[in-house]
Amino acid sequence: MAHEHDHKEFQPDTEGPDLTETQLREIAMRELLIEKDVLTADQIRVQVEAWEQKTPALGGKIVARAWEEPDFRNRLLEDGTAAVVEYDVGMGDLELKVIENTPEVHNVVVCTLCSCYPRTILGLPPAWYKSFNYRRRVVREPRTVLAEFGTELPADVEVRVHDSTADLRFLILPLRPEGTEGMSQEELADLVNRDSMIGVSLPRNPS
Amino acid sequence: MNQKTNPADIGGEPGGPIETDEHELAFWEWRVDAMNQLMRPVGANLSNTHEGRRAIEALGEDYEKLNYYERKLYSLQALLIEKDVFTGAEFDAKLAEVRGRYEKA
Repeated sequence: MAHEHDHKEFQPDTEGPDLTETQLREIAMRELLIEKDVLTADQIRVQVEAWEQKTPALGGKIVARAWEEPDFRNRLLEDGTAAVVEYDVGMGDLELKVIENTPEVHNVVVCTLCSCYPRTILGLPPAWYKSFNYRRRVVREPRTVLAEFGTELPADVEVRVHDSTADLRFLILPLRPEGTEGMSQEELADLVNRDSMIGVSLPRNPS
Repeated sequence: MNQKTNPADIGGEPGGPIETDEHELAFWEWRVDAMNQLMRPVGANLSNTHEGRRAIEALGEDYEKLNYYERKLYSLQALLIEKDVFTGAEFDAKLAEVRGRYEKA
């Protein structure tokens, strides 16, 4: 989902008189860090803008290319961290592991301990990914959870759940939908929704 | 069931329905995220992924009571006090000042 602001409104959540305790604490933290010369207001603004611009579209582009170019697919699966460097998305000191779905095995990602996520490629994680109930349940009853996301898998397809760590982030390379031969990489990328790269859904079928 | 020592260790516990609605972050949430990122080695170098996680897990019983970015905010506060970036008294004084300013508004 694109992140859309109404740019005419200037930070309504710090203008009104009804700030929550948490909002007051955020303001206190920010002002203290600025006064202590740890951060500048500008650094915070630039950082927010940079993260707002990160969307799952980059992941879709990478997946579409992997579907079309076997060499790239192989590099991606062999060493995800190295393969995405050319997209200017450094993983920092983290490792990216790309896992390929096959007709026999479907993969899904969670971070049971927190919210670890390949955010440099997909943007910030959706709320449900960080929710207690997703973290609790997907490791115990992945098929049920997938069904709740509208993803019904045949009984003979094995489901594997991958639990992320602070150091290791997973990206799912979904199965290419049928009937997409001859489509351009751009068209293919449009079929790759965020949730299919987390593994709770499948890419869209071409209309 | 074994005694749980890490409040974040919830994988495999029974749970209810997963709320799948998209949630647009509030401005304060974006800024908490930004401040956390800016503490990393490539920024102010006051924290890293592991220290951040340790500080969140140290929230203990508050872990379940706070929402996601509240956990990030409260744990960052504890971490920065631990690292003598500011004292607890300085934070409290700042918070009181901010509260006074916005309550008057």
